[in-house]
Amino acid sequence: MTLNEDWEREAGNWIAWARMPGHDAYWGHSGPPFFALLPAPGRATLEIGCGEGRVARDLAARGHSVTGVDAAPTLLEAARAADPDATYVLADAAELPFADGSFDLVVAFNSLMDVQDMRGAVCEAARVLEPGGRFCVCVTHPLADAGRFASREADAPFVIRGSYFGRRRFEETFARDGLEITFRGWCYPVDEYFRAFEQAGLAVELLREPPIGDEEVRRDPADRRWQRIPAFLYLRAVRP
Amino acid sequence: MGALCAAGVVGVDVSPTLVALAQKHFEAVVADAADLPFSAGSFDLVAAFMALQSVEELDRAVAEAARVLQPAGRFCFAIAHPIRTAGTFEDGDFVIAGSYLERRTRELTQGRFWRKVTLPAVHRPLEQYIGALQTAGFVVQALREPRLGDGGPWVRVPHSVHVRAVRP
Repeated sequence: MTLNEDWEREAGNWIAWARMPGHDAYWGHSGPPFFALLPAPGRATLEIGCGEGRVARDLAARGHSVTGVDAAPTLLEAARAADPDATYVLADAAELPFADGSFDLVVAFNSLMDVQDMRGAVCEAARVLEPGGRFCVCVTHPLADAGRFASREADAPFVIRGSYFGRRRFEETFARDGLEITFRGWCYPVDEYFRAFEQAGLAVELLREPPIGDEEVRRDPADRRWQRIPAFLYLRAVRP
Repeated sequence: MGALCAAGVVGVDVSPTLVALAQKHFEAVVADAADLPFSAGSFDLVAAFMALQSVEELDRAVAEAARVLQPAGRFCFAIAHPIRTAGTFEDGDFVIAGSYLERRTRELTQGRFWRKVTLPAVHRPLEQYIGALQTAGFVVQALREPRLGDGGPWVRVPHSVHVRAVRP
């Protein structure tokens, strides 16, 4: 089963999960600080791995003219139903149906870990960017993916038992407030992302490791452990 | 590096003893990385090998590297990996008991067996290094996390980061 088929199978779970306000980190520390790093809306914005469309809708609300791409038909259908005026296209991230230089901003929000061919997807993002265009990425942090907290306590040690290096499969089921989702994808070290950008001719101008926000910690004090270890990594690259 | 190609190399260090040794091979001066005694645009390459994690004023050191570089010049550096400086090995596991995201000073041991040297170092997350580059107008062309394949523990946990940056 490919990762694209995995997402199609999880589509119903994901739509419920993604659309419940406040349910996951997107509403806290992974979403809002990410939007602050984006350049001002320009000519045309592409979102890779748009899923049911919550990032694309938030980009549109901020003035971006958005095209969303995803490989899972059910997710794309849900995205279209939620915003009939927007443009959503069924495609693999490593084979985008757009001409060179079609966009001045490409966004990949928590999707590069989930595509089968990460380097191919980054090359395609660079190809469809015009010179001077930006590629803005959020991925799960390679450090967080490489180990585990010894417990849920706020000061629990973070332990790396296996290897940080190489491309490793990721599969984990999360359950919260009656909803359940299984994420399947890949873990990479930081330099795998940088090698992909380098190969695509992109230069990295910004890197951030956002901690979990105070508001999320107030809701669950044990989540303070994520103020010590970053759960997400942001990268902003420019096509020279 | 100086011994291989002495022409056009100028070395800088804060230690007079080390600079005196280096001067036997190439031009070297005692100076602080945050206050370089060179005019703007003096170099087309600035290298800092395993040095920036010992520099207190990272932002000023990176700004100085930018100042002494010609336009389109390269700044290449290797640092102790922020994951490494965030934790320690305990019975084979790598453990971060404190915070990866918080800057702090600590001791760092380089080398193995009888050739060990322990020096003070600053732990800071990767975003502080890349942030200093961004502030000074650099972009990162390449970043590597070399894997030490010598059978030691650093085959699983990153030991250092190599960066090549340019000011467009």
